[in-house]
Amino acid sequence: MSGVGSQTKADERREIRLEIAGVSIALRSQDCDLTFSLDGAVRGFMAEGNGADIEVTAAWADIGESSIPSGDLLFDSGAVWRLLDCGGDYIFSFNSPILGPGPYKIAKFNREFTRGHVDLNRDSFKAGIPVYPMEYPLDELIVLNWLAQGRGIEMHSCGLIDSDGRGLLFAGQSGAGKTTTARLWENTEGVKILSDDRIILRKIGGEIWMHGTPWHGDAELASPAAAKLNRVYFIKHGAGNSISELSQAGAIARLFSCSFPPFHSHAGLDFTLGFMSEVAAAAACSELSFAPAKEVVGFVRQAAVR
Amino acid sequence: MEEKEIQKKPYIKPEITEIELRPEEAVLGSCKTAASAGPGAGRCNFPSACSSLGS
Repeated sequence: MSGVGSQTKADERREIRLEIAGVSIALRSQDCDLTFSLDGAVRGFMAEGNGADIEVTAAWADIGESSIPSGDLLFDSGAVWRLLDCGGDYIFSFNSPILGPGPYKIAKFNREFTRGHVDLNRDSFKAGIPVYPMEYPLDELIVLNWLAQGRGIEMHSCGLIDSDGRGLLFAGQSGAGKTTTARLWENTEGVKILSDDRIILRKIGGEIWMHGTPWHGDAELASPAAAKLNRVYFIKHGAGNSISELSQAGAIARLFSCSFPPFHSHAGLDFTLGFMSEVAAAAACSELSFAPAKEVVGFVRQAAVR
Repeated sequence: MEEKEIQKKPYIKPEITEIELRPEEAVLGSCKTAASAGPGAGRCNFPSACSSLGS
């Protein structure tokens, strides 16, 4: 398990390779004066090798108000990003009021999310400072959209590998207790926390596997490790510890409420719901109400073997 | 032909269960603690969203 808060910056470089949940990403600079730097948890996901599932180039650009990308608006997040359809390609436009009316970054990807290019608005970044062009939420958005093409889903959840190798997923929205859960299990002998906030589920050899991601929560716990998924708990705070089983339909609805589906894509949503059905069939899904004390670890372990 | 006894399943009245959705979380619209969005990442000087929403 890696506490990532104290890590220092990676060496500045013009090429970076990452592997997140088995998805390989190659990022390459097209400008001599554009160097990359990784902060925090994403450093733990750096990888070596050739070829990549997703290949991305990046460059500086002068993006003014007049160069706001045109296209059909597919989705507006209501915050920093919007997604447009531009002649069959996808364009993510990132804006913030503090940086003016124009985008601070524009990312263009092919339909398959296998190749893309990121233009960074020169005026929005400090000159001479290394950057990470795929900074949140772009890296997560690209991985999610690549996964949604029949490959997997991401859950708002804490995931861990118990000392007996069982993969336990604790899903819930903000405030449900994911970080609390991670901290309660964190120093338990033999336990490995994959993430306190984001877990990717993929099907491998007919089994559902859970993977850690760099997009951690307040506990800053993130690991590139993976494990077969054995149980899913939808968590909520309570006065004591109790578990109630969910029907398969109930489990699918709860999985959906804790997921990050591609809302702009019919096919992606269709796949996501089908995949959740497979998850609910493969792993027992329960609601866990818990008190924030260490006793919940033993309680869950006892329940898991019943 | 031998007639088989048909056993009907008991009728169970459908129930509607409300599941809470958080659109602002589901669309990655908010910042995260150490990976907030934009050139102000992680320095809490980028007022597009609050880090606590996304985690």
